[in-house]
Amino acid sequence: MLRYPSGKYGGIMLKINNLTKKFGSNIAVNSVSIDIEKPIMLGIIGASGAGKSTLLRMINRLESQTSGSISFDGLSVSDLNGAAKAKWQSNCAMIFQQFNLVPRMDVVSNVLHGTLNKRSTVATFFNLYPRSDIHTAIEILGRLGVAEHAAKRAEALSGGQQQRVAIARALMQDPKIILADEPIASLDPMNAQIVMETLRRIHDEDGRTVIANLHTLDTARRYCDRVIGMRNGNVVFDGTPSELTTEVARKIYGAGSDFSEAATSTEIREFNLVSV
Amino acid sequence: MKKLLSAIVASTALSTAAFAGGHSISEFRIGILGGENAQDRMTSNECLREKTEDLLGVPTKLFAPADYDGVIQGLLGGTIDMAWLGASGYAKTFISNPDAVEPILVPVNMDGGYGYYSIGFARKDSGITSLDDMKGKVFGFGDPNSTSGYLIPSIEIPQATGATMDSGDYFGEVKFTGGHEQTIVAVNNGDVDGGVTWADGLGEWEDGFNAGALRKAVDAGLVDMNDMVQIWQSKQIPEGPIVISKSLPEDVKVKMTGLTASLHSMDPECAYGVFSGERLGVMPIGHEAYYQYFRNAMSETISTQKYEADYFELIKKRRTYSAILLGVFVILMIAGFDIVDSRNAGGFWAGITNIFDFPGEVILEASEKAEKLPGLFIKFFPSLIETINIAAAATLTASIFAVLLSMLATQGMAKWPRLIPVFRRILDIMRAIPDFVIALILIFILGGGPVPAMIAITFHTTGALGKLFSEVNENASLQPLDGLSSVGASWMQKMLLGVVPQVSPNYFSYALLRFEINIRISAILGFVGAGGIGYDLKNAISWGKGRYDEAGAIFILLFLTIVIVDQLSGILRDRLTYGRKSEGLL
Repeated sequence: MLRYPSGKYGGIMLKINNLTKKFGSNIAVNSVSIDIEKPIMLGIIGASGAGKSTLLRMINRLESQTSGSISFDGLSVSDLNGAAKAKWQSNCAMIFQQFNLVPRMDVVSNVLHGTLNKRSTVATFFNLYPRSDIHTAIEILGRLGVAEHAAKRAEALSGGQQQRVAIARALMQDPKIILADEPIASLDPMNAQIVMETLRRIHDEDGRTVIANLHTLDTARRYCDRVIGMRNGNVVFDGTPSELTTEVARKIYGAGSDFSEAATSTEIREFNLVSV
Repeated sequence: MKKLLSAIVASTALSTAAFAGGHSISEFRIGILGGENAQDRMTSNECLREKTEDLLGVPTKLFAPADYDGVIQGLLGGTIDMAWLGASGYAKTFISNPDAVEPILVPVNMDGGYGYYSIGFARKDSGITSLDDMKGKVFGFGDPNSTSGYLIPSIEIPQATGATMDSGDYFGEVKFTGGHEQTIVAVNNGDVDGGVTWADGLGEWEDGFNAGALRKAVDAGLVDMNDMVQIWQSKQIPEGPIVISKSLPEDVKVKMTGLTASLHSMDPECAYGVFSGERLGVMPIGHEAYYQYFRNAMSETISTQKYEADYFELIKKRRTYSAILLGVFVILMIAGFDIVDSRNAGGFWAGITNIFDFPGEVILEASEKAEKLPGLFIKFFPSLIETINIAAAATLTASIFAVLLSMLATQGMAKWPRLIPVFRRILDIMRAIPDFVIALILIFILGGGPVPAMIAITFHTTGALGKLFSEVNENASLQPLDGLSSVGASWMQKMLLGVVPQVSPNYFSYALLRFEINIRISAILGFVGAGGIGYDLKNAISWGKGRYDEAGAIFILLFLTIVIVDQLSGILRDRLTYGRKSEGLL
């Protein structure tokens, strides 16, 4: 499996510099700067409307910045247009809260959509994909444990399975970086755990950078190497999971002293059988 | 620890025995995985068979199928009630049917853990000491379904060598010996250069470790470990569970769990045979313990080939259907052309050259008398208003009926679900009769004028819009309806507050589209005496040359009307859908 080495240019892989996004008079992201030096799993936490999604969408270029810049391995992402932008988007996979699969198409076709950037419209129209791509798609599905659903329609799968198909579609793009926008917000704790472990795995095994917007603190602590906290468009915390104390969490969520993490936790704690 | 465990199991047994299921069993069948020859397997488990027979009071049999899959299929098919599986074997059973078996216990190693290892080994005198030395050599593996005998090595060895497990790629040949014992014998005899089997990794190499296939082989006198050398070791593999069929009566499950759990304290020698070596005992285990392992290891190793073949089959089928459909289409076109052409009696080909003659004449005359057009617009404007009036009144009335009928004809919304087909048929009938025909009949009975035209258009439009509205309804979310039901809203309230806000933009755009169509129909109905601009158009056209400027003016008026209605509907629909212009979404 492919491994992506750390940044080739000056040790910085992803450099976000004073990135700002305004919607009318509303500032969604306010002069955010983040440097990622080597492939990591980065968690972004914050209340709804803190600007997490907008930040991810700007990195993928689904949304254009008002000011500031994004560069990846020396490539000035924020200046790309047209075909170069589409090429970047094919290298920067996105995973969504609602999976965003085509519900009436089979699972393999959905995964093959990851190669659309390389396909002609005519081939797409007749649903023609190279045999080798189909093989790869099913192998990826196998890797994520959903190969048996290959021929089913995407809509027939459970939420957790659909999200894994969405991850398979992302892997089909063979991306250097995977952006996950609230990947587990629509899933039950069991499926959430499977999906988060899958994301962690593709980081560990392939060396791909994963940036995930997360809702719960324990998820960020458990799976991420670094956590960024956002509030009202500003970065208010940037550190390791262990530095993410309840005090810091109160600051991020703007909550009072009655804020209790346990009240919102969805973690499934490991039952350690060996020590029985 | 084991005493405590036995106590726990025993107390569980006592407390749950009371809830034992109603049905009983007539025999009990224990499956034994491959690894050593069938006779040895039967011998080492005979003590367990006797104890089971005593405890359950039913004939008990041992089954030792030739390969791992035999036991798995037995558990799935209900011909085996209990077995000790490997982690992969359990995974395969679980994936085939999650409701077939449940893990109850797992053997615990002397160090208190329940992991074991896949061990690569070779003869000392071969000079092989590592995987590097195995390059180009013959490598022996056990059963393809064995966790330690193949599945784990097939993942971890390629990671170490950077090559595949295919014969000739890195290793000269990759052989399946059929089981652990066969692998050990094959290596010992020099039939293969190296082999892989399992051990707990504890104790001395000379003893063949504390437990595992090597220990068994040593005990059986098959091999002297001093002749052997270890060349590779996997990461720790979780020991497989002892599983029991879920469909067994509860008391049988509890009794067998208790027996297996206490086997080690009751009869250490028996436990040694059953659990393949020296163990600390057993401990309870559930599905969760293997869950992680499934995803990490099994998901990659369970062959995707079958799914791939199935998928290609699906694609082939799909392509065949597409080709057939295309063929049918082509045939219909060709056949249809022939029929149509022969029915046309040659008129089509003769007339096609004159097809632009009439519009040409109209345009010519209208442009010659262009200066008269504004006057004609004013002249025909009142009739245009009459025509539009007919269309508007009819569309409005029809929309109200259509909303009601469509809701009554939609699954999930209908007040009387049983009457859905009745309301659908009513809509079908209203739609099936052309408005033109209704108008002709009504004009015959009631005489000419706008009222029969209005009734005719209303009737047909109700059918047409009802159908369109019911399709809009089907796409509406029913969740708000549940919400309103939960607060005790009446049917009418639910429709008004739960459905209408969702569907009104679509209703509106369909109604406006229909309004547009109705203006045209109302104009045409003028031809048969319904008044309005159609009547003027008929007079102009049938007069022929000389009044074509009037026909032209009427066409222009009608065209402009349609354009205006279309523009208005676009604007109104946007208003309805998005409200005031939004400031963008965060």
